[in-house]
Amino acid sequence: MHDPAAGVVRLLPEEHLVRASIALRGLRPTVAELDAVRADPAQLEVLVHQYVQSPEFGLTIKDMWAEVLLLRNDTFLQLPALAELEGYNLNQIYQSTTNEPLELIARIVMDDRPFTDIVTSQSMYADDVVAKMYGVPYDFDSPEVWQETWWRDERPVAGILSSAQVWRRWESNGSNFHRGRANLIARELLCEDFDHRDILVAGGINIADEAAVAYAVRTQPACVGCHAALDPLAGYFWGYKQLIHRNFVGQSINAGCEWDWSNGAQPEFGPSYLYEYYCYPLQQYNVADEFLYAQWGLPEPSYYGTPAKDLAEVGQLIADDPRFSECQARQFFGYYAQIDPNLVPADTALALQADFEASGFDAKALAVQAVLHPSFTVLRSDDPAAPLPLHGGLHAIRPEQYARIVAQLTGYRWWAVADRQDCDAAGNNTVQVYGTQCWETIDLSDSDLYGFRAMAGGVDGQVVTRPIHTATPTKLLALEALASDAAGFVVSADFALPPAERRLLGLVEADTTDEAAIRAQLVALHAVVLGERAEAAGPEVDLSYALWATAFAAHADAPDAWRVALIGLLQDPRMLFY
Amino acid sequence: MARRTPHRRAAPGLSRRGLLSSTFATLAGALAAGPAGATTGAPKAPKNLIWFFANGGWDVTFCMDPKLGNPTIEGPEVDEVAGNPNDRNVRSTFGDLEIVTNESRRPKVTRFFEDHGLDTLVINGIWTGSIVHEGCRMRILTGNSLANVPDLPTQIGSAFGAGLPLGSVDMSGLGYQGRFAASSGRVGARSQLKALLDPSSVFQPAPTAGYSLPLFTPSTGDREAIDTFLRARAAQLQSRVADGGVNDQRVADLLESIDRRRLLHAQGDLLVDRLQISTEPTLRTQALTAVDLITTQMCRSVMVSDIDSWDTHDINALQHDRYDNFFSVLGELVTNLKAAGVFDETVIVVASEMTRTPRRNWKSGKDHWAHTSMLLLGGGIQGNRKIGATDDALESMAVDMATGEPFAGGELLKYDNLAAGLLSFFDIDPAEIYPTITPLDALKA
Repeated sequence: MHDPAAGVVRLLPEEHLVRASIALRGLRPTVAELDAVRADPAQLEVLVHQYVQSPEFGLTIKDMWAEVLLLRNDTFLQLPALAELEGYNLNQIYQSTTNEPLELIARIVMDDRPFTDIVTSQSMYADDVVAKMYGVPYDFDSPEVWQETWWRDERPVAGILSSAQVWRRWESNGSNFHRGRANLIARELLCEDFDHRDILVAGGINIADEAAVAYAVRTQPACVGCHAALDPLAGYFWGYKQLIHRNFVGQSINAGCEWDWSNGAQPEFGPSYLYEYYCYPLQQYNVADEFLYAQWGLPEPSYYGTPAKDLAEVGQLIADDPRFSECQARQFFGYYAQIDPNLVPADTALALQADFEASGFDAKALAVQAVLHPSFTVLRSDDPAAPLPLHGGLHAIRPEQYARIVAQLTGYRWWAVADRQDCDAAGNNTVQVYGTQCWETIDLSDSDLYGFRAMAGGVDGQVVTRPIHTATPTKLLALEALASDAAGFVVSADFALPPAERRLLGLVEADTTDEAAIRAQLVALHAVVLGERAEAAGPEVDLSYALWATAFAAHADAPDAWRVALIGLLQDPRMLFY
Repeated sequence: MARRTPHRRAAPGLSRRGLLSSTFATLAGALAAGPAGATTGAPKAPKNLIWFFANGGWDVTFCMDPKLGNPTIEGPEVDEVAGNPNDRNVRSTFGDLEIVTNESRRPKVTRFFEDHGLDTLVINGIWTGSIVHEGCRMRILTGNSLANVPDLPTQIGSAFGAGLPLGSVDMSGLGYQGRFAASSGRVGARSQLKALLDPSSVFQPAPTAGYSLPLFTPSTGDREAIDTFLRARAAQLQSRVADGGVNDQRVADLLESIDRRRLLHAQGDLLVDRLQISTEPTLRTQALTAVDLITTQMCRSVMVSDIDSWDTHDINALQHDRYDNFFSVLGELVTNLKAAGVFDETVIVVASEMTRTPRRNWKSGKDHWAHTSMLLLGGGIQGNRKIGATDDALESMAVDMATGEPFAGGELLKYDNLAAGLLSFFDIDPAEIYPTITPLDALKA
């Protein structure tokens, strides 16, 4: 649809539905939904509102915030499966700890709570692993895995600002003094990244000399610009342990969770690193440490100059800060449109922000507005002399979306066991100290330790921190492997079932070779797999039939020909881009 | 400012898309010489890059930026054991290079400069613009503070790697491939690429699943048919979305990736043989693989990274072991490249995202310092030189970009000057990506 005023060609309604559906849910729309929108474009908005009520929207919220906060980092060492956690495998520990903050965010969204609750919520969510790890109240007899509960320690409670895993992932090292944690808040909740600016330390300030640094950041003009805001914000995190690594926990448990310090020895990492703090349940927060900033000559905590007692009050200040609502408009639109939040056009961000605030910070409404916004519906420029900037046009399928779509279409998930044979062997030194190293069954599309998420364009939360939104050779290798297994799975499964119960191949039998029948089945596949209305004698089906026929000639086996054809369709450009 | 050919160019008269059509393979040979089109018999021009990275932040006072005797800086000498006369840090001279060595703790550093010092250009006093790991890494790798510029290995691999299975291989995962991602490949944290190229290496489901993987493996003929289908489908898509902008880039990326995937399937045995599934490749394995990848023309650029962290906040003395192992492998890498006859056309960039503070912190570790050093070897780099400098406070000094010499009236040597200088050294016009930046032309001296 040509929009001359905007200088662009917009998506057709059914194309817009595909883009919105994949962005919001990681699923393609059904054929019936596409037909409904073709018949009545007004149905698009109706369907989009339905999409944000679906469980898959909640999964996508988790995907989004895992990427924003870089939480899915299975390549990092997991806490040991010892003591209270003995019997769990590392995948269970990883999934539970990672989902602790993600579950909270997703519940806030799906339960229609104001999105500001992500920084003000008084409760948190725990499963059995998290409950044992941190000692939060939990009903182990309940069938409900993720239960709403409360931190039992004295940490100020403020949504993800109180999350154990957020501050385990975003640890503080050396003389950083929690500035990295403060910058995470600034960058991802307020879209004000201090590290985008080059720093220029002039005049021979020794960063390792804490007193010199404390003085310089208050007096040196080159420092004050950032540190006047950054350091007081960092001051709120002193109650949290700087680090909780596997070795601390393993050593503490192996030492019996206590140590006699009366002989004059000092805890290696300072007075908050006592053995008893590092046994399960972990003591991540100590009130006594809250004021240690003063010991280093650092300024009183405050929120950009506004006094606040603790992180709970900081959370409320963030919720009230207009930068938060604008930033979340940028985060949501940026995630769906696959652009850096800071590159979202100002008019788009401000329009979404206004609607977001008017809705009472309704994240579902924000998501709907984002995918209905005209900026989201651009197909291409109408002027080759003025092509779209990098943040327009085709969107690239994310690995999480691809896996979900493949499962939707074929019923196949990429489960596998990738452990080394000695992952639980008594002779393995690591096992002796830290317990099992087995992950057991994992989803290869949801793993970077053994799987292919980052190789398929995603992030690993640790080293690969920026998604790639286009085709790459390794992405195509990974998608080809998944498509091949899925095609192998669904063809065998389908032909073992009556036609009416099949997922994809309901119009042919295993011995069908008649061209007309094959083409009719391909028409259906183009619709189901790609959302494409193709004619049996049209150019689209000509290509897929040629693929099928070539494979049949090579294999002399119709099911194998269908496997090859499906591998092609599952890697079709209209699957990879939307 | 503009030099020779524009970045990411094809041979004269050919569009990039033309490269990716069915003539892809036949054009490869013509382009293998790289942007400047080096001719047979001419001196070898650099066309390969190996980025050899110390991830976490090295302490340059342990090696390339001597500060022994400076009362404001706590260098490696603070770890000396009084009773061990061999444990002494000294300023050693290798040709014209002055390097800090310690025969007891870092003997491999000495061996490296003995063997390769004459080939080595030391650049000190590079200002990193940040004291955050990722911020520094991004700036050093890309010459930019935003993640929208591809890293240098990817840029150079893309420019020189047409027709090869990959332009660049990122064995570290640390790269920022950006808009040239279609030319690059990742190995995976535990060598997963092997499983994608070798069906016998795939992981199996639990025994209770009732099936084994792969559930179906397309034959070479199947893959060719699928690729033919995908190319034709891409053309159908492009007919609807083309506008000379990002959509065309996406389709071109797809076509390029299809071609490179095909070549990887056909020529990926080397990677399959080198990589061990479920195992993080060690620095040595990465280095050995890098040499093989370059010599067999699997790619033009490889990024390798030490898997031991250099982020010594708690115990800075760990830097001794890090240096010793790192330079041991670096020495092997250089020797192997020379033995393979590709050293003269391969630039090795030895880098870390930052150095560490002049003095130790309360834990006897050292924190982040917004300056670093770099070593360059091979590919026509004139070695036995040291350019750039830091002052007595270990802070970068202004230099003359033409000579690299400290010069009070010059410019601060920044990460972007270095990136532009490296591109220029490879005969790639830096003005497109770094339009306002003065390249460090001293690299070409």
